[in-house]
Amino acid sequence: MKKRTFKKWLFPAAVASLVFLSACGGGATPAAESGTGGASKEPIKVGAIFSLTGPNSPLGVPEKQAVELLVKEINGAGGVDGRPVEVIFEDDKSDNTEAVKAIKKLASKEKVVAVLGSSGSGPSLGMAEYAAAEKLPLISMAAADQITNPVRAGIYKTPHTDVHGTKRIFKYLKEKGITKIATLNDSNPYGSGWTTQLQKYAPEYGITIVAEEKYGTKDPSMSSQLTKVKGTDAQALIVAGTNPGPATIVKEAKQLNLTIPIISSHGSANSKFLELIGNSGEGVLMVAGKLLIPEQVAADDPQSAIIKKFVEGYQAAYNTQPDGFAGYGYDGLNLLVEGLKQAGSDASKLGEVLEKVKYVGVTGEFKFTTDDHNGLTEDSMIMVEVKDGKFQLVQ
Amino acid sequence: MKQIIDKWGKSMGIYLFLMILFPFVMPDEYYRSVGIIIGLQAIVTIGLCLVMGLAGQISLGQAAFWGIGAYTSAVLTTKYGLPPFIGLIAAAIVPGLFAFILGRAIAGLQGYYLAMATLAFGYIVQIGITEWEPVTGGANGMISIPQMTFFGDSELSMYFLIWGVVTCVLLFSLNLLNSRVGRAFRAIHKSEIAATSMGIDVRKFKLNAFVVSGMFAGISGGLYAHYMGILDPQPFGLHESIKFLTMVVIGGMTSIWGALIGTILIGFISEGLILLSEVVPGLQGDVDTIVFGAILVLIIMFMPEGLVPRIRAAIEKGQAKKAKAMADEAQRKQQVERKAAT
Repeated sequence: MKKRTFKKWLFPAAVASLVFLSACGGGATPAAESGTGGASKEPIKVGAIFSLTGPNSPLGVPEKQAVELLVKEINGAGGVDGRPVEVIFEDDKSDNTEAVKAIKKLASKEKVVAVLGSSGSGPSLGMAEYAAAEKLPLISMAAADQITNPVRAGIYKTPHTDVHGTKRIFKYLKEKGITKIATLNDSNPYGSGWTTQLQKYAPEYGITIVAEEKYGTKDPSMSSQLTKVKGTDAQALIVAGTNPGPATIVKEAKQLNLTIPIISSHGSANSKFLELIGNSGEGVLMVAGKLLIPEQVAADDPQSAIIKKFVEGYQAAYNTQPDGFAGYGYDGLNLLVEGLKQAGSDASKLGEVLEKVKYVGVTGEFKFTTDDHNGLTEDSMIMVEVKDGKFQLVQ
Repeated sequence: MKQIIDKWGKSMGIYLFLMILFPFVMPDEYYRSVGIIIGLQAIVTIGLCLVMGLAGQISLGQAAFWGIGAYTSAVLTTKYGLPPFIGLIAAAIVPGLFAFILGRAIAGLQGYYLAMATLAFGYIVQIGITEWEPVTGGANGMISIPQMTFFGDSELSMYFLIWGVVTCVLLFSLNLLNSRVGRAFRAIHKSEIAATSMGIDVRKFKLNAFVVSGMFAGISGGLYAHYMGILDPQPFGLHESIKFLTMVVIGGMTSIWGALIGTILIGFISEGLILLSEVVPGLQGDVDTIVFGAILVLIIMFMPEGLVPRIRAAIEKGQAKKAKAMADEAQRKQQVERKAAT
């Protein structure tokens, strides 16, 4: 009898709680990070879609933190043209469909003038498709070259691409006189993008790829691929993937006594990588942005001032060192603000104006042109070596 | 047709009314896009409902058919320049063929074994899409897939296109359910042995249900590709298959309306959670997965037949009670009258 009454009440209770849920939701005001200073004028609304949850969250969370930090700073200094900047954040859950839904929400409900994001390539490409059709300026923080190649009006991105990384590594190899390499890349979008670029640019630098191996993102061991590489006459091994794959490769290469230098991509260039490789990673090389070793950036480097300012501010706010992803977010909003200043009060011109923006950021020196919507060159990347468990600049 | 109107007239009327009203009550692009995505999912879940509820099979590979449909239409329109309409027809046929071959291969399997086989199929398709780079673009996916034009290309016209398809799929399935075929399916669902002894070709019926569900998923996939404009292999995995399964189970496996209502309910709950997370920051992210899991457990524990059959039963019970009360009343009156007469 008791069970029956429980059953009888369960359904109405469930419905009631649902109604309550939606009622709560309906009355809510959108979460917004409005600034404190210069609040008298109407704010400029900017959307930001990052992958705050799901597999891309290690990228999206620092990006959001950097943007939040910068918004406070901009509004503290009086905003843009006396108007505060209001950033409305959305989470795409690392999912393409959610990202497209989110950008539609920002465009139609919030009427934002531009959108930042997203963290991953798939969501960014989906958003770019909509943004290009709606002529809504978009600055992405994702790696894929396809986002800005071919160039579309109003679509930009801040991170270094695999093209920059590839060229920078090849430049280094040329200096060292290395001509034969092996590659071992993740089979995810990031790694396969690298495979394509490595193949494409190798002849230009007189380099032959003698072995081309792949691994799955979740593979626990890559020793069979490494054994194959060991059997070739490769003089260096290039690894492109996101952690923990490259770290596993470094450890297993040591166990297999593979003595050729290993060069890892910027996808794994962070402190997590150092943690994972432990003491087996001495001498591993990496290509990365300057933000990886802010204290070693030369004082006469044009980027040194902004890197110093960003790192200090970020550390004070979050008590941790900013990584490259935080830098992408930071540069994204800075570029947008630069564009807003130039466009003046006319937000509709923003997409075109950005095409002429030149700005020194923490990732590199951005020079947008009509046929380059990324604006970076391989010279803004550096080669680092793991020494005593730390990243050291290779001169 | 008349049969349907008689039997489903009321529900159909309410459905059409709400469906047409929704985009005007929520006159902003965002809620229309939410409506579109729910519609796309509903096409898949109605198909899945035919397989699960009627033929009594479990498919954990529905997202794979969805993906095959999406890629078929995307490749044909983007690489070969065919109009999206042709792409969409191919998006129904190709997954149907896959379902036919798979269905033939695994027709002898039941229960968990069938679930495992479809699970494996789902993985194979996702890996296949990722590795077949020259055609599918691999993990990087495809971009610039042409939009579907249906009386303009606004969000509103897309909404009506997709819900138009949902309505067709719904009518087809309801009609099927009330035909000889539908009765055969229900017999199979209750007991395969009994159905066989009644002269029903169980294998053939199961295969048909499987193929139809694959085709529905394919149509939805094709529409999804043209709606999104980009594709990559990520959405076509196990996670999505389980989501479809959850929608069907919550709404009620044995009812086509259940699949539809389950899908709408899940869509509304995730929207509610997004709104709620703006007030309660702790609720951000994967909370919906937890909530759906909890709902699934509760449904299976307390109303394994699902929401819609339960509600329908409750209404019927209420009506029966009312009728009984009226009968009692009449009897009492009669007695009183008789007493008065004597």
